[in-house]
Amino acid sequence: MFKALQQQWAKRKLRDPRWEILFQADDEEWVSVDCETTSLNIAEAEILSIGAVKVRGNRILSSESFYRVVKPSINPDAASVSIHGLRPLDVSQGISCEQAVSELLEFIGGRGLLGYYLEYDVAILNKTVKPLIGCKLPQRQLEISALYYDWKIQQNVGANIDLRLQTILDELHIPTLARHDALNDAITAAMIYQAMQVRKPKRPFG
Amino acid sequence: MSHFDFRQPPFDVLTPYERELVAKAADIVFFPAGATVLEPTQTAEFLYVVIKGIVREMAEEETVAVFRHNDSFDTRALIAGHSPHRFEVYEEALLFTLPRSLILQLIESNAVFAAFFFQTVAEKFTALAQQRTQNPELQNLLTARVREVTARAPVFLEGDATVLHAAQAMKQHKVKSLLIRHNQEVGIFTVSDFRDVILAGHGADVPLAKLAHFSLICCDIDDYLFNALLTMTHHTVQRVVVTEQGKPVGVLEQIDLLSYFSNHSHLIAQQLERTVSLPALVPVAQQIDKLVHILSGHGVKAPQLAKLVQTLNGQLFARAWELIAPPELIAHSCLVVLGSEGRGEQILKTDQDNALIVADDCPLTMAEITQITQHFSEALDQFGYPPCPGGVMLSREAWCKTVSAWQDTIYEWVNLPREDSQMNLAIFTDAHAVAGDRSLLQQIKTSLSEHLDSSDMFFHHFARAVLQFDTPLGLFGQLLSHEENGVATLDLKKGGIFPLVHGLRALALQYHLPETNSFDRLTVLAQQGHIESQLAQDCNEALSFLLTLRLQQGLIALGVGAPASNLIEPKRLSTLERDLLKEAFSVVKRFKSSIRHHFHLGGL
Repeated sequence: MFKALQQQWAKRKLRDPRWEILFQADDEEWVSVDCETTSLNIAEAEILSIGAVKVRGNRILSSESFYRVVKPSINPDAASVSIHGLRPLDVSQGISCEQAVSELLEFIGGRGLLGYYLEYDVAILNKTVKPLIGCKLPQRQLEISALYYDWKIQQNVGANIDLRLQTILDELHIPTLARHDALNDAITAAMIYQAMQVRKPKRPFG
Repeated sequence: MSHFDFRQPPFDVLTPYERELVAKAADIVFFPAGATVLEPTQTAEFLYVVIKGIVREMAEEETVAVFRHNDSFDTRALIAGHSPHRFEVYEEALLFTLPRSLILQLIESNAVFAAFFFQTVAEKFTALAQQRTQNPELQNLLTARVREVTARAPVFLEGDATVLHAAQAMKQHKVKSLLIRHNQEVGIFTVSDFRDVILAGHGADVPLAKLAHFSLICCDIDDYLFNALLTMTHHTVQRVVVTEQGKPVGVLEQIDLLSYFSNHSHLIAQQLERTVSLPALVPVAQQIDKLVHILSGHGVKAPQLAKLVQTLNGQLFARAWELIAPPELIAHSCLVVLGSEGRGEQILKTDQDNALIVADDCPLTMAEITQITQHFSEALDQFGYPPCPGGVMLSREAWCKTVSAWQDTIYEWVNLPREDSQMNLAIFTDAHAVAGDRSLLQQIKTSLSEHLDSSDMFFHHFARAVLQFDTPLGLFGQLLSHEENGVATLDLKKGGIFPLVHGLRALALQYHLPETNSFDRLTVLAQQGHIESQLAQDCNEALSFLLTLRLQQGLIALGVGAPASNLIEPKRLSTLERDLLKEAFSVVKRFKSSIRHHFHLGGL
């Protein structure tokens, strides 16, 4: 009830009616999303690349994937280049952040978002989304590490659950993809989601 | 995009553009354990490539094939539209899906890729054989050293010896060059120098010191063979003197060098011919092993290699037999090798399997003969053939008999079928004569044929052993469940080699084929229409593959000092090899079922 009101409120703030598609919730599909950024500090971080992939049922639609390289206002520093592998030269070919996010929104539509540490990616994206469309990302959001946590904690109540990505991958026997980039990370998150679908914790009600 | 692994066949042959098509079209699907990926009647819309997990191909309740990381399925279903089998997830699986239309497009545009899909079993094997020969061959050619060829021992003459002496020495030692010692120098005098002697009008009494070449072209015994060949080419000579620490220790003939590179077996044959004592045969016997190593590394396939080894072993045994047995025994007996040695399918030395057929009119008594055969058996032990644990050796009474005693034995084996008589008969069926009077073996084989014709039930019992061991693909599947605790292994012999060999043996017996080699048997059986020709060809390739695989595993095992065995670890095979192994086993299954029908073995 409260959520619905919030959604309506947000919808009214839309600058452009074409973004109404973002509110047409799609219960069948998800989009796994990941961003590579210049920093881990949300306030100063700029997007370098965005990867996203649709998930339908047990299928990860990597054939309909989304990948854009963004040109930031300041060049990525050496330390972050070693993580995401995007050199200043690579991002200099990129498109503007507004352009990339706008295309991403069209790609996502009303599908729910899922990701690993999704909160961070959503916050980064919202820095551009809000000025662009007038409100924050309205789609439902699913944190895969939370799915994992729920499952683990049920097996071992009160335990300290290690939520590092590599630990989760190892535990679920998910292969590590060749390259560490936004799209592969999005696919990896989607694979964790798939693996968690058969490990849903039993809930007493519904 | 890089999420698809293009390093694995068949995708490694795609062009960059084709790779892009694949990467763009590849989706990832997830299946929990127990899920069905593809139903028997379901249209196959995708080619699946396993990223992680295990998928099994099931015919009813039987596992036909197992797919793991990087394996793709199901090529047949993709082309035919659907598969008769069910594809079931055994261990939670992540799979790439590639649309059928894309695969068909790639088949159209890329011939090598297409080959992978359309290859009949037989053709698939050839692809692997080619792949395997590429690198090791080159490497062996480049890294083999002069020492491995064991150059001919040099024959020395003093400088004051004459041209006549030289001619005599060359004839006596069967060599084409002599080393001449003169004033602390060493020179060489070769066959072609005779030509110059005659042209110059010299007599046969000219001392060699005047004619020999004292500027020797040498190579060190530890130098690469490749360099020796270059030296010969560079100086346009046919031989180089091999030196060890500066001293001449041998002569390396170009012909030996070249034959080494093509097929250096005749060196061993020559050495066997020249050897005059038993101890001197020991190093020659060791060379046979070395030859196997080298030729296998050169990409020579197991069946050809096995025939070569059979020939060489035959010569080795014959030579040893000549050195041990008196001429009257040799003339009045036939030395035969049995089992895999007799079929010409044994490559790495295992135990002795041999027998002696003594003519009824042999002048020696059995007691005398036993002494000789025991000596022979010991000699083989020295050569690296340990005594047979089952006692199948001519030094045992049971395997050293007169012709008439052998005929009685054969009669018993055929008509009183017991466990070991079946086995003995199987071993004897593959007998191959290596020395002495070959007609003696023929006599016994003829009487064997006669006994068999009057005993129909025999074949039924004899052929049943083909079904003795479980179907190999089932075996594969069963082993999976034990994988996590121990090492999953698979018995190549029980699973594949034995059923093929024994089935062919039974057919060969039934149709009185004189051939003992399984490949020869296959050819003749197919020619005579007893086996369908496609099945024969598939069996040929499957057996060849299984033997080659066993040989490779054996060589690896010997390399680390372990005994060669029939067990292999499927995990250690490459994806293509595992693919081929699956194909080979499915051929074995087809063969077994045709044997089952042929000999009316019923549904066992």
